[in-house]
Amino acid sequence: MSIEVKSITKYYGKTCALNDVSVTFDDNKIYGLLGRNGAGKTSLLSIISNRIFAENGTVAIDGMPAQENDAAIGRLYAMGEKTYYPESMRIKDVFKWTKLFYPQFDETYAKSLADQFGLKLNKKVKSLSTGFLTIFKLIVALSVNTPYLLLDEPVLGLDANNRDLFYRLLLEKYSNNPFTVIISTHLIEEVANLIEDVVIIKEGRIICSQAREKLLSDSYSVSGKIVDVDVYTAGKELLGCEVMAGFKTAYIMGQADYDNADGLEIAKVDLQKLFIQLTNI
Amino acid sequence: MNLKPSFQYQLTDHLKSILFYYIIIICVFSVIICTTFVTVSSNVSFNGLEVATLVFLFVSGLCAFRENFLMLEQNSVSRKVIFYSRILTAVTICLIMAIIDKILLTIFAAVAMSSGDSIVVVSLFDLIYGANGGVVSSVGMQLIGFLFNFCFYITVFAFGYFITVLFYRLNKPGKVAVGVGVPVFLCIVLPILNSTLADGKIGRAYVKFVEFSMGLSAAGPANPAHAITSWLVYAAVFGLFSWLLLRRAVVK
Repeated sequence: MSIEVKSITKYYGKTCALNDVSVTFDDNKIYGLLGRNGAGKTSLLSIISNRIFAENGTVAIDGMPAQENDAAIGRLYAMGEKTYYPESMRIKDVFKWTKLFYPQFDETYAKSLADQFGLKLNKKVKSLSTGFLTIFKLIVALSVNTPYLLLDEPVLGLDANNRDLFYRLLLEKYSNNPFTVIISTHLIEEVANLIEDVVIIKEGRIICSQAREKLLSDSYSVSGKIVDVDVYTAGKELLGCEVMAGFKTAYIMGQADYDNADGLEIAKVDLQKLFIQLTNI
Repeated sequence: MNLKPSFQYQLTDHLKSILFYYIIIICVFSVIICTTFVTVSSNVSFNGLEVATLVFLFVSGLCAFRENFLMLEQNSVSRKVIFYSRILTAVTICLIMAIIDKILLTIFAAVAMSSGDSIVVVSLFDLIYGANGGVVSSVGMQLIGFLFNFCFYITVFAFGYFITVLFYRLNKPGKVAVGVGVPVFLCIVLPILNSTLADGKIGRAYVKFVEFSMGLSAAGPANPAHAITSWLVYAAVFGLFSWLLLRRAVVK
């Protein structure tokens, strides 16, 4: 039970958006799909959900080819940055139609979520503000009950309170009945404690795909005088450095070598810092 | 497979506009009747119902793609199923409208007859294939007339759909080239070519083509079966091209 992406290549004109990308999203895990602007996150999610086509490669959902396969793509729901629901449709009608396309859609739960977020069901899609458009799409996504949920920028335009509510609802739902969630976001700090596995994409290539805990435990930072830090980092897998007023902080992959760290400060790296270093190289 | 909800969704999308369309048609006919009675005018002819339906279906076909495609893609429906459900929707809508048109024309003709000779109601089929206005033709001809309308409707609907899918797939320069180029070629270049270089041959070939398609002939009796076959072939051709465009259409 997984989404298997094999050797996907996608071009937009002469620009290569995805270059021979292979990655597996296992079942019942929360993934963070991280990457800088234009890294290829949306393209990857769009190819998985059969919205665009890749030049090469395959996507399989639970062993079934995803391209133009209703049985396969029916197992996932993709929430994108853009809204693809008819503008003149009312929210309650979107719920009604979603129930027809996804029989497992929980309309009662969707209505209770709408109540919690303060979304009026009689409103038309076109009358919603950016924040409420996101809320509306999140409500559908959380209520649709598919084994795979793809969320591309799920908190776009949401205020801090609603973002917090969404993260709590997602975790609550996941705890009650685990499913696979792939969250693509730039707000890494906010999702850092939510995600179990991290997939980092850079310039159309997957540069990291592993458990968040493992990734964080395999990296650290060392700070101190420039000369001392340079001596310490010699021969180590250096991700990047920051220099400020004669002091240097180096970010390193591997296990910390405390024996040779006299006068240096060794610390854990948070996911956002690590992401910045990994994608700055 | 999401065929049933896709069909249901696309059909529902059209129903409201169809309802409004027939309300307008009934209002127009009522106004004609009232005006005729009030002014005691004679020789008023009501013969544009099918043409109005054709225009309505063409516009409906034009408006039927983008929004539906995005909505269905959002709900994980494959392009294959979108296309199948579109065919089912087109057939259902054209069938419903052909039936309603037939019923309305019969009612309008009955109302017109009761008003004496002042209003004449003629169907498009009768206009083309020679039955006199107001005279009820045989059951066989009625059936053929119904089939003629139904197939004509399907063709026009398919043509509208083909144009809209084509424009969806084209990039900006392509849209301008087709949107401007085709009308300019058909309305300006072709007539000039016809009158200068081709010495009217293009015009004559076009007339022959239309006559052949419609089963019309100066030499013998008109053959509506020919027209029905032609409409079906054209609808199939537009459908095929629409599918070729739709199968690689991406969400944008």
